[in-house]
Amino acid sequence: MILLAVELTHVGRFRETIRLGPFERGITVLAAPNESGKSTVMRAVARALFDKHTTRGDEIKSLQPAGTDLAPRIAVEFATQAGRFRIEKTFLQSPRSLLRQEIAGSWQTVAEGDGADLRLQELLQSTLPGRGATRPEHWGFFGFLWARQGEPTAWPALDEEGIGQRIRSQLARVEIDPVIEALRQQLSRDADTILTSTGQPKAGGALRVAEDDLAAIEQELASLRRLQSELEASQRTYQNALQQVALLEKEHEDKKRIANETQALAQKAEGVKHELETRQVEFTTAREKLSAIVHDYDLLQQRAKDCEGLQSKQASGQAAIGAAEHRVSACRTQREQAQSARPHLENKVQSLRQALQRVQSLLKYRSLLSQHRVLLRQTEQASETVTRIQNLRAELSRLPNITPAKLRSWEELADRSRSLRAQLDVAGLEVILTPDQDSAIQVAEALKIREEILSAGKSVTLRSPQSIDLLLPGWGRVVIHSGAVETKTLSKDLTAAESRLQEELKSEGLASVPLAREAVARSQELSSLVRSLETALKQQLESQPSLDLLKDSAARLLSRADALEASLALTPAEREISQTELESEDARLAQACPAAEAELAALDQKLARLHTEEREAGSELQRVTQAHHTLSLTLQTVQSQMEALKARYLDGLDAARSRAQVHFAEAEARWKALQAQLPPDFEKLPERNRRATSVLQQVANELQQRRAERDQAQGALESLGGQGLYSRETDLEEKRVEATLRRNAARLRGTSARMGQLLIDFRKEAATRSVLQPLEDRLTSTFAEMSGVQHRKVFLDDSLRIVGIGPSRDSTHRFEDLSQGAKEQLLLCLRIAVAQELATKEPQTLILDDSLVNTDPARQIRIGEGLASLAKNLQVIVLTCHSDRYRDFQQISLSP
Amino acid sequence: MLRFLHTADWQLGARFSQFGSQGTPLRAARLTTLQRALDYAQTHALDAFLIAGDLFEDNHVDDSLVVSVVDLFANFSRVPIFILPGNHDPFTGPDCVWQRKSWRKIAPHVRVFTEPGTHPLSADAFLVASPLRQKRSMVDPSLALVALAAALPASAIKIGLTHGALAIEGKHQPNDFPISLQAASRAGLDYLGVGHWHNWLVDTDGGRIIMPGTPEPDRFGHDQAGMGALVEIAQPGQKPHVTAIPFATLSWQTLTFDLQNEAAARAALDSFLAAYRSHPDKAVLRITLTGSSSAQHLATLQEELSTRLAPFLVGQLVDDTRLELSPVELEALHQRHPLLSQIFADIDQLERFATGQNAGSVSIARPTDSALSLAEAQALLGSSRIELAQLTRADFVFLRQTLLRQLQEVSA
Repeated sequence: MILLAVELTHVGRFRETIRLGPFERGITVLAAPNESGKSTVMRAVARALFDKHTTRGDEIKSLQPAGTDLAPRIAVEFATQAGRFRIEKTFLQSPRSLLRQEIAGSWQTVAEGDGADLRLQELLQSTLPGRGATRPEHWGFFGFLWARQGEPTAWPALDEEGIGQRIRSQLARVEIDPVIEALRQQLSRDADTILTSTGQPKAGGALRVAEDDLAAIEQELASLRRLQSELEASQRTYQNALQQVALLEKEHEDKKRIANETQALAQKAEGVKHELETRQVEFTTAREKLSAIVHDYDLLQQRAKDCEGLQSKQASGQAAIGAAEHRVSACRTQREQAQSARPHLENKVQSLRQALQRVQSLLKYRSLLSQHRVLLRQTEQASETVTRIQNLRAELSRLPNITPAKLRSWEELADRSRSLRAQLDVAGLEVILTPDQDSAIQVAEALKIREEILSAGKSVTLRSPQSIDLLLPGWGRVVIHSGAVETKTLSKDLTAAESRLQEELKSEGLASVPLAREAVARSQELSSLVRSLETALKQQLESQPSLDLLKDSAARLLSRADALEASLALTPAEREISQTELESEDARLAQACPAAEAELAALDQKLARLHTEEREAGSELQRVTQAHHTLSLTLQTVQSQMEALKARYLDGLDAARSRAQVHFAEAEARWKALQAQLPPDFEKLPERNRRATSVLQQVANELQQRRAERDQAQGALESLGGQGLYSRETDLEEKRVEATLRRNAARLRGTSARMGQLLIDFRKEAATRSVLQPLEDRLTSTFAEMSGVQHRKVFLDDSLRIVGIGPSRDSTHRFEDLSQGAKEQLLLCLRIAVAQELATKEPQTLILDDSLVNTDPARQIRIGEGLASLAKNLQVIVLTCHSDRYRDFQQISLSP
Repeated sequence: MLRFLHTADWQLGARFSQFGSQGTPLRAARLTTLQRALDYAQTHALDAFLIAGDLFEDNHVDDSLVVSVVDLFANFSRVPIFILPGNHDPFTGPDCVWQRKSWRKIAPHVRVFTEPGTHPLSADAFLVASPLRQKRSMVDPSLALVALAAALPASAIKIGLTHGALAIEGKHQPNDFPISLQAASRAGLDYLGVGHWHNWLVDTDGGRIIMPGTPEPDRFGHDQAGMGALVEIAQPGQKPHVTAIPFATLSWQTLTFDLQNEAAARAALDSFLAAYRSHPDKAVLRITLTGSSSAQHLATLQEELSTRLAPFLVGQLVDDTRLELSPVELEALHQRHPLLSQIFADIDQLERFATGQNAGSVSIARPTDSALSLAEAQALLGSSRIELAQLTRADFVFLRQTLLRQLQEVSA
């Protein structure tokens, strides 16, 4: 709907009829000062469009001019998809309502009174309250698109039923199909009768009742099952006891038989055992007697045999004694022979050793003398070299101490002087003298006066750098000066160079540079010579660090030679003998001496061996002599024993043995015959008998216990078996099936209904979410355009409420926390977005009644400009007291 | 001529959980049937009434039932009755049904075989029986008959009696007392009466091994139950002549009511109910609703059918209907309610998550770009404590049906 025109009579401060309009699409500014009735106009329009003409209430009465009872009369012309209409309503006194439609250029009545109100309600899709005047939520889209004065930051709830849902559905393009909504509600109701919102069975619902019934049945069944378990346990106990009783009865019989048999056997064995003991004594006596006789017999036989052996050994022992004595004698003879040869050999070795020692001392003496001579020669050479070195160093020390660098410096200075002088010569004075006669003149130059001899008629040229001082004989002194600056400079430099050179040479005691050069060359030559002599001296000293030590060494050698000579007391022959002969003698003695020593050692070894052999032969003789004596004693003892044994048996040993054997065999036969009558383990019979009796008693006890258990289990089984457990279980099972069916059916109904409801809710929300993003984008760009602030995104929730603004959904400034200005700007944007969406189906009016009171003037102007571009498809009516901020838009006044 | 009635698997005291608390009359009917069979035997002066195991459903049935049975047997004193404990009521010991005090005063014409034994049926006929003493065993109980039969005169007619599963390949469990298919021949029996399975089974071992099934059906679909075997043997070695004698008290019948063709279904229903109208207390009926219908119509129909089934002993109504939309209707649904279309896709996705399988033919969803993720599904259902992993295919079928039916209702 869009407004076309408004006429007010008796409304607020408009006592006379006032007509506003025509309103066009786009922006229309209703500018007037505060309290001039702008908002009253819009309130009156809303009352005319949405309230029944018969409504009486404060909201209607507030339209009356202050202090009057005049009936407010309002006419509103508007357009919808259905056409152009005009509603005229008079409230309070003589209320009336007339709806007309423009048809073919003229207004034609459509309905009057309540019919007009109802028809209007249909056209505008508005609703009525139960009683009283309407509120914005009853005004359809108009209520949402009117930003009312004083409520610029209030936003209607879009999640309410009715118009809120319609707006929401259109914005979100979600089909809120009334059939689907009814289906959702029906499913929700069905689910709620069975389940709670959290999926629990609802108290009193079919599912809870069935579950309670089932629980009770299950409890009874569990009790029954326990009885059945007891029955089964008793059955198992009974079966086990039955089997065990059968086994134990059989075992008892077996054990009883065994115990009886064991007892009889034990008694019989006891009698046999007593008789056996008597027989065993007889048998033992006969066996011992026979054993003694056999022992004596065997002993006699053995002694006779021993006697023969001893006699044989006695003869052999005698022969061994003779052989041992012979061997002792032979060993002694050999040892004495060897012993006699030893002193001669020992003397020989001694004399050879002494001769060898003397010869070696002589050789040492001569060697010392020889070494002494060599050292003397080295000492002389070294002394001469040392003297030469000292001389050279003395000469070297007398030479000026000029380094090659210093010499090079002087040479460079001399070269520079020469060069300067040559330059002066070229640039300096030149005096040509040609005397008429021979004469001598004096030329003063450089503080010296030289005489120059001149020949008559012959020209002599004198040159000087700057001046020439001549003493001409007969004429006087002639000084010629040059005025040239260059020669002055050259002359000055030359003087400086020469002065410096002379001073430096003088400081070293030298007259000229060539002399310096010679001194340097000599110094280098002497140094080289000293170094070569020092090398030679080192070789002459060999290992000695100095000449004095070399001399000490030679003196010590001589001293040692003298001492050796004194100790040797040399004979004249020894002094005369040559070195070669002496060395030959030394070699001969060196061989002869070890040979004699070896011969002596071999003789000593032989002597030791002969000693050993002699001792061994003595020992052997002693051993065989002792053995022979022992044998003789043993033989005597054996012969005595044999005689004693024979004396025991008067009728002979063989006869006695035969009698004893017969007695033994008879006693043994009687004993064995009786032993065979005993059981094999007759010793264990008493123990076996006791054990068998004990086992029998144990089995009897066990049998009695098992029989008691069996009887007890049998009693329990008969008692439980007769209770008809199965029949009771049947009854409960049948009830359980029925309750289970009820429960399953209820659960299925409830779950299905809940799932259906949840799926519808989910899809509705999903559809909303799917359009949220583009709507947010549109809002964001609109807000940026109006506020001039970029890079802030606007976020909405599922109910299309503004959540806040910020860079991301997780970090927004909440709408509640924004400034009033930002809030009203955001809501303006949202209203524009909503209006644009709604306008795609039907023209819409957006009313902004002082909706930017918190926004600064500059921004209001920009918003106004932005509105112009955004509201092309809308009708925007701006109520403001600042007409200057909207001067580019159509403005209407409130003048009658 | 030896003539006797061979029965088995009376299962007195049986449980009928599928009917909830309606089991009592069904149990009572089995006792009525036993009385009828005994009466037949006495009336026809048969030589014996054999019960080849499972007279009782369980060893722990009520004493009152045991007393009733003992009293019933006492009323038919002219018929020798031979009872064999089966796997449901094995002779296990003091707690078993055969040790109840009631049996101590049993009449002499009744014998319970608590262990393998022989009993003369006539001058030249003997009964050899091998009872069960445990609930499960891998031993063929007919083996005990071999020695017993061998001890009988060669000229005698030898009747065997035992209980277990015939060892038919693929049809028995190894621990279910497997009985050789040549058990009668092996023991030299003229006839071997066996009990265990509840349907009539003959023609084993040359017609000498017979399993008569239960004389009173206990479930729908047992078409070969409700009979006893009348056996006539002229002389030893001759093939027995066996006649099935119907004894069943109750008739177990089912009908499918297809809503796709309701008129035809109604006609069939009328005919079906008419057949049992004369003896409603003997009818155990089940009507299964199939096809598609509006919820309101379905509720109305269910109410009507419940009323019509009420006079019968047991009337069970099973709802297997499915609200199925035609392709045109389905297309319209997707066009009109795109959000619901998305939700059907979500349900398919949930089913995939929960069962690991695609919805397949039950799916009514369209391909969508916005598939539900597993995290979303878990979060969605988790808010109401619905465990995705606990949901089954049936839950999703029901959910689709719920949505479609509720949609029908709110659309109306």
